[in-house]
Amino acid sequence: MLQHLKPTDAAIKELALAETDPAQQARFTPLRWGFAGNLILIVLAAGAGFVHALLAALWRRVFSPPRDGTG
Amino acid sequence: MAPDDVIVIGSGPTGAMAAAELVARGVRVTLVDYGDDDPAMRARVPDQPFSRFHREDPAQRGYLLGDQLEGVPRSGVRVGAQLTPPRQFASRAAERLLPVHSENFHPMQSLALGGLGAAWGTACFTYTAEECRRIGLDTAALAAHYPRVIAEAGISGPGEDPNGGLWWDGAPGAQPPLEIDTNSASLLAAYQRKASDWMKRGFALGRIPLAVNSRPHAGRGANPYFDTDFYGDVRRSAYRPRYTVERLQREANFRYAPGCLVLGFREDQQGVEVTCLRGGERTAFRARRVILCAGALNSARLALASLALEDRVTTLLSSAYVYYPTLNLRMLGRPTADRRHSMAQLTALYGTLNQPERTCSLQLYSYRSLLLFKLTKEMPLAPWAGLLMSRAMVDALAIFGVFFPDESGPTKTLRLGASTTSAVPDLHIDYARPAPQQALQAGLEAGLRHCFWRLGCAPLGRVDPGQAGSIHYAGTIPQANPVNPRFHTLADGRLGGCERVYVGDSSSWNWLPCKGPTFTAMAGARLVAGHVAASLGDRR
Repeated sequence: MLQHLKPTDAAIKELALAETDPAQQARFTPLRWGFAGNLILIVLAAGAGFVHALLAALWRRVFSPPRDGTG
Repeated sequence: MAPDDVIVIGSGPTGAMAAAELVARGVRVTLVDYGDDDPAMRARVPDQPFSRFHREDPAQRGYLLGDQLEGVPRSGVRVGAQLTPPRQFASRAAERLLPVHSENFHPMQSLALGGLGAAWGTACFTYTAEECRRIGLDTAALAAHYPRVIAEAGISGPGEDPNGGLWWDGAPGAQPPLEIDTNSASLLAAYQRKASDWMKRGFALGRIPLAVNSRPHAGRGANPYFDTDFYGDVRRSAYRPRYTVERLQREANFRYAPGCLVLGFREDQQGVEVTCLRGGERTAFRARRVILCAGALNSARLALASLALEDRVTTLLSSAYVYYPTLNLRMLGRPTADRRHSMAQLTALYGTLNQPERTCSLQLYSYRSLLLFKLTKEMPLAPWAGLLMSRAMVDALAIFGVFFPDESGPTKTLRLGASTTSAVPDLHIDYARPAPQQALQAGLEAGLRHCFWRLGCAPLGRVDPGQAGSIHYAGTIPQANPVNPRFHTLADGRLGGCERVYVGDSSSWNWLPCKGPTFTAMAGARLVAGHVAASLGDRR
């Protein structure tokens, strides 16, 4: 189940390309907002990111064509 | 050409050390090797701090991800996933030329110059007398060779192991330890405040000896703390066996024969003939003695293919390996120093510390230069959220790699098959750890998770790269073989049934400790090389 919520290969490739682009480094710098700041950020990102990934996975399941060619 | 005194097969850590010992004793040596390499890719990595070229270098994608994006993993974590593009040559040729078939065991093999040592994590351990006894090594004889390995490789580490020689016996010649990073320093300080309490719980933590220079040594530079060690090492601070091979090539009694895929050997009254495939044609080398240093799997492959055996089957050893990404809560949201090396920062042992079969070892890594997208990839979150979390956690990540000991048995077999896709015969491996061994591992892991919390590290998950993931293999031609007793090694390293063929790598071990085998295997190779030289009549 959780495996289906992980980013797709295409999304990871896009991130990898961005992370090795000097012009986009600001997207990847470590965040240092103190213990409480980072903890709150992690909790919020985990919650919202999980719901987003769940909805995206459901969307893909409902609206993406079957991969076996029968559709 | 007159036959050489000794042929050493393989240029990995043991092959390089065996050759170095023989050459130092005046023996004429030919090192037969496939010798794959990728100097062009290696040369692309700048001699600069990771943070600087990551911020500035427009060409970084080529060496961080690879020109074909081969550094972007497409599926889950697998064996060898830690190899960055400049180090992928370590297993490249072997995947094609050394076929292995298995449902449950997918080893990393190497035909590289320097063998698996080209990708070695450089952690060094000495073994206790009890561990040596289980392996079948002579503790005192082995210890005499530690300083010679240290002189060749350059080892930095604690002068004395504060935990009573559990992982390092203070062998002379070691350089001062490398600096540890902010993250690990905070963990070590927390541990040291209650060290005796931790020891009572069976958990010992401390600095790890590494085959990395902390000061210039043997023509190689000191580690510059650029955090580029997973990619390039312009100053050659981390030991790679190819440095020894390069040095030996300046000696008159050493010959390097690259491009050779060794197929087998044949012993006769005059010596030993080694057959290879070189440039698409069969060629042969002759010598009075041969030392197999092709790695545990391939030394066994060669011996099984060359000896007259009824059963071409044997056993094998491999440390179980898992890793735990944890969040060092002390470091959350705090800045860290940019200056650091990428290798293991600390090591630990956990379990019943005076019973090595009931102990596991840990290596602690921080995380940065392996790039955030690889963290994001493993999170069941939308990519934007995974990246945000990765940025918030990266300074505080403490990755514990955990290794477990292994013992041989009938459920761990390696069988020689017919050649199918390569000139060398295929290997068929069936590897399963029996239930008591799995239960022991599960118990140790449960205790470890408790230790992580007590240390202030919140476990974020458990990653199992699969069997063979440790890349620690041994015991395929042990002194006592429970699967095929005729296929064995004698105490002096001689291959059973042979007069002139020796085993110089960890193939001859009866047991595999949880602590990394490379340093001890290198000393063991020098020990076997000494026996070989003695059998020839020592010349120096």
